[in-house]
Amino acid sequence: MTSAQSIVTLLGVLAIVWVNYYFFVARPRGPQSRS
Amino acid sequence: MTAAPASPSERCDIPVSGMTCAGCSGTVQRTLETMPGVSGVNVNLMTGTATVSYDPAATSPAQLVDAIRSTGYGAELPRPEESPEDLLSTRDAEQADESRELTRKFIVSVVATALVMIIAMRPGGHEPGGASRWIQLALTLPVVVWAGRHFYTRAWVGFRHHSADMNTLIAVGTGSAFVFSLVMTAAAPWFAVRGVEPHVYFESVVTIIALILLGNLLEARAKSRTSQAVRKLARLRPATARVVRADEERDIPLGELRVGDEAIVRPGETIPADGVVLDGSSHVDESMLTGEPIPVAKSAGAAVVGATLNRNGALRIRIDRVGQNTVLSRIIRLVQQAQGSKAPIQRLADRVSSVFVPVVLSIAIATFVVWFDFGPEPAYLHALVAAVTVLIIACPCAMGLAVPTAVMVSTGRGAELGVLIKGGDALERSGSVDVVVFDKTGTLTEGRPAVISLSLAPGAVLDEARALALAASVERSSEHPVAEAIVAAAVSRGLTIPAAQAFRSQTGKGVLALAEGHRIGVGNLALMRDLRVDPAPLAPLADAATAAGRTPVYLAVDGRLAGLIAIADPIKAQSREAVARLSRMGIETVMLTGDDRRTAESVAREVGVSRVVAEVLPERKLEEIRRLQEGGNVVAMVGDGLNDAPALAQADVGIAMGTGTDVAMEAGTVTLMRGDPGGAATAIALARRTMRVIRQNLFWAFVYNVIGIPVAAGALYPAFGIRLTPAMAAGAMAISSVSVVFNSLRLRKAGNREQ
Repeated sequence: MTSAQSIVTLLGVLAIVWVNYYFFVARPRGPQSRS
Repeated sequence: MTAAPASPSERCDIPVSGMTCAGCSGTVQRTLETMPGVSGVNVNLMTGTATVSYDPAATSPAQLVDAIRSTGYGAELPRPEESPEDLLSTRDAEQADESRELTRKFIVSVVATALVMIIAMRPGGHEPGGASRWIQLALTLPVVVWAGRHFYTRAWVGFRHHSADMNTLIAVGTGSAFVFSLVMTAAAPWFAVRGVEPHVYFESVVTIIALILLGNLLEARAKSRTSQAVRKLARLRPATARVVRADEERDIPLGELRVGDEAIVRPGETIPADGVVLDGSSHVDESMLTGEPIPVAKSAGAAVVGATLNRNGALRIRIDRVGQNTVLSRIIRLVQQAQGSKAPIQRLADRVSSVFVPVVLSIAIATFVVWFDFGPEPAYLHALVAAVTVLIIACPCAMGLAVPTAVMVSTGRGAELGVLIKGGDALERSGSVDVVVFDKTGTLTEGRPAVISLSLAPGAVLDEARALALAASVERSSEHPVAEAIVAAAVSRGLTIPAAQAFRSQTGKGVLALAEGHRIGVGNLALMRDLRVDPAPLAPLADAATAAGRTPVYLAVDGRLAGLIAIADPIKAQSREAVARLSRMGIETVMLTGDDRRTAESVAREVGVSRVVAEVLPERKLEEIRRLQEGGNVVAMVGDGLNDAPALAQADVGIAMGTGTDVAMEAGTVTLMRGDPGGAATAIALARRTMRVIRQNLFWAFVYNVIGIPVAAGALYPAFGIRLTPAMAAGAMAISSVSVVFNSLRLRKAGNREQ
């Protein structure tokens, strides 16, 4: 694997983690639970 | 979705514009839900409204509107004085504006796409350093900045609220292709020096935007067709009314019509509003509201409903209800609320949509990495194309449209058939009904006892007419339903009813009085015994009448048996057919009645009902329904909506049957506009068909994504060398959402055949 490939792979994994964190974990919750 | 309000709350409907998919409505929904003082939110994509329950102490409609606007969608304060029809025309105008705007944007992007394609395909179009890339950029720029602008602004607003929708996918997809191409164009020499051959994807960007705009445009047009049923209803109202003011007939606009006005309706004209006939007689065609095809005779004292058609005679009517209070306005409001409501099955689609977009973003990133690491050279280009294709093909529009379009079309179609189904929840439950319980009186029967036959005792000295007149003279003072039937029979035969004196009522037996010097007794066997009258000569006839479900009433004159009147509640002409249709649909029918077993069974035999529960007190009807439910059945109860209210409420589906013009529309989950029990079968058939369409829609929307995403990511490439381009993905996405809408539109033609 070239260094470019390694960097892209690492960035990709980080991006996936961030997307899921941002949209699922960090999403603000409403005052009532949403069933 | 909607939490119970903890404090006194108010409700308002806010019109929201610019929402195109489930993600959009989700964004608005989440934004409103996070506001203080808001206890319940229902954002409806199809009708473009947000229904908010809020605590007026904590927030106000104006703040709610501001919150919606902050998400990038348009919102306006509701104007309370507007009638549903006005709201409808306002929305029509908005939809027309939106449609025109989309058309303009679409045309511009199509022209740009054609030009970019021509330039890109030209020999040397991809040559490095050529002017062609700059021309392509110049053509693409207005498409991205103007025609596709709303995709980016909405995606950004959604992103700030931690929510992602179809706009996110389009924006990230086209945005990355555009920025990549821009860099390649601007820095071409820099890349050329380093041995990287510059590539641009302007044609993909413009094609995707053009195709998605086309999809949106078709959707907008189809959506406006789904509300056609309501529009048809609204159009029934005449523009003017002819009123008598100061002894002068004048045409006035409908809006100026007031309660208490006297209106003149000539043959062939539409009745302007609800009222009572003062003068004249005519037949009125009420089919537009009740579905009842036969015109109804109206004369002085009869109630008439606005928007119905006066056929053959002139009528003078007193207006009782105008504007929002008319039957027509109430129907329109009910249908609109129903169309705006969510079916429980929608929750499935909502839940999938809300996790869908971030998951797709992850898949797109993974696709990029895999192609970059393992794909053929130039790997970065293939990686970019594959990732963009995944983003574009995965737009969840079809999923967002699957349920609401079907609910909207079928509730509208129901209204046309004289069946008001109150929303998606009612539809879903009606679709799974397997037992229909009919109340007997007024539902399967007319609800008004009538004289079926009159037999004279052997050797009686009076004729039938005289016997009926004497019986009526006594019964006129009684309020018993049997008495009303006898009096009505005498009146309808044009008999002169003599006056009666010394009226006495013997509870549970009958009535006694003097008429024209004769001692008259009308009542049952017990009364005859009290009077020492021998009923034997007519006893066989009385027994036969009882066996046939009729009530025998003896008539005694001067201590001697004179005749026997058989009274029954006539069965409605449509009852037999209604029950037969339900059985063909595989639905068990049950008749519930307070009558005695023999009468009930005779009616049941005639109508064809498979099971009878007789001698049930009104309050026990509810328990019977509950018992059926405990047996695992989904029970629909058909009743008149007044006496049966508790049973209707207990049933899974309460079907309230209207009688003519005065409909207790709010009583049931389903309201039949006319007194035809066949409407129950129509409602269930329509609901079943709707649920089937919804399941098809959801199935295809899911399947489309399940197949589309892996193919777009390049799953077929290693084995078959098959790859999709971003433009193909955009086409597939447009087709999938448009096909869902058209599938729902099929319900417009749903008839009353059994499904």
